Amino acid sequence: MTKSRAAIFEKAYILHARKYLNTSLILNLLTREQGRYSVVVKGARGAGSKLRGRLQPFTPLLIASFGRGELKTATSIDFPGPAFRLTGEKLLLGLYSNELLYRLLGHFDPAPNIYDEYEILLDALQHASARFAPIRFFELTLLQELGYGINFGREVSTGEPVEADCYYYYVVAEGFHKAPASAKDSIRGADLIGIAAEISANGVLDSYSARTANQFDSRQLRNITRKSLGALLGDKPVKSRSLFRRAGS
Amino acid sequence: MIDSVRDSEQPLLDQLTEAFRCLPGVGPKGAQRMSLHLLERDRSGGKRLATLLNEAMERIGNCQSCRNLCEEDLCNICRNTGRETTTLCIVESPADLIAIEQSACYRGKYFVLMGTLSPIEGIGPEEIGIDQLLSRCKAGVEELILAVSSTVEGEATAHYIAESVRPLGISITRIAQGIPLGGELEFIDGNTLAHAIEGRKGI
Repeated sequence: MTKSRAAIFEKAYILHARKYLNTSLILNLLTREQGRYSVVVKGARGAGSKLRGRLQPFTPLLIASFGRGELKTATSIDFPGPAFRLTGEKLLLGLYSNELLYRLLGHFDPAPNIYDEYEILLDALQHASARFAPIRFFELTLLQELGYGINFGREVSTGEPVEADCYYYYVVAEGFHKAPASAKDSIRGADLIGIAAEISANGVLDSYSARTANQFDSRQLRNITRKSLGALLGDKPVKSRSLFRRAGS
Repeated sequence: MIDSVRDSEQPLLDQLTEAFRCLPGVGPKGAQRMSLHLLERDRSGGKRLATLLNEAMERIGNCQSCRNLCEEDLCNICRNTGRETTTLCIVESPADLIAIEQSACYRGKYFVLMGTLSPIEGIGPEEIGIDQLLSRCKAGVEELILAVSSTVEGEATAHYIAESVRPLGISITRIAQGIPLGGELEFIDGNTLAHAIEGRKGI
């Protein structure tokens, strides 16, 4: 228990919290500087704890911790701002993004861009009216940051730019191929160009506007990100997807 | 050297100590204290514990109607004909059910989810018994009270159940969230206050 250095506070979000011993919690965190890792917060569930009930996902935290191993111990936790208040379907999308991060990010692998993008996603889930555009954009950025970015601007076999009035189909780990006319599940070139423009413009918040929402909200784009993420996630199904299918129907 | 190692080896005692560690919050030291206590001071207590544990593990299952822990096919609450059958209170765990029962403020029936939706832990709609809940709702329930925790998982569970049950056209309510009785505003955290103000009601 050497505390030679002054406590260094780090920005973090909780991806998952589980109970530990009588009154403690183990938090799996997404941090800006050190990526994803776990900390024990001793006494966080105790009757007199100020933290009780406050350590929830989607809450910005400043956290100081010590320990050299896989599991650190939190020494101090601060709440720099209000929690994002996600309700209904937006909350389920938030849980889905947490599950993706939990499963795709390695321990102590710094990913400041993913952290920033996650924060933007939470903000969009709380405030933007677009239904699925924010999560699609987040999935695309996540793929990009993990080194599996999708090139929406070019046809993969020829390297030619995508043509607006042609149709394309997507192959995981390859990219877009020209599709024969009216092929099933094909996507219009103009949509791909629109998506590519939004991504390169890097105007992240603008992409949630109604203007582009349709391109990002499409079933085709959902299938594209699902296939690409599926290749990284392996055989175990993404559990939060089952929350979007209503029971009994 | 080899002899002393052999001397301290007591397979049964070690196994017993190891077995106690399946209890939450019990580490190696605590487990050793438990097994030594039973062997040194309370053999009859130990035997009773063993038979009861065995019997409980064999005979206690889940109520076929509400999923609460019980020995028969139906639990006492589900068999009780004096309780209202038209309201159904949804709780996360048997402990929550006991808490509501002790408050003596509810006379309807229950449904126990045995957890909350938590994708990262692999708990989805199937694991909380959503299909069983839906068939239960179709059998004459008029109001569904969601008594789930005020956590992110509880919120997600409430939303999911509400959306699944909505087509059945029964009334769905969620227990209030906000200022506890005797709570002074000054000391209440911002998130709780925001909930309380949002959920204000006319007086």
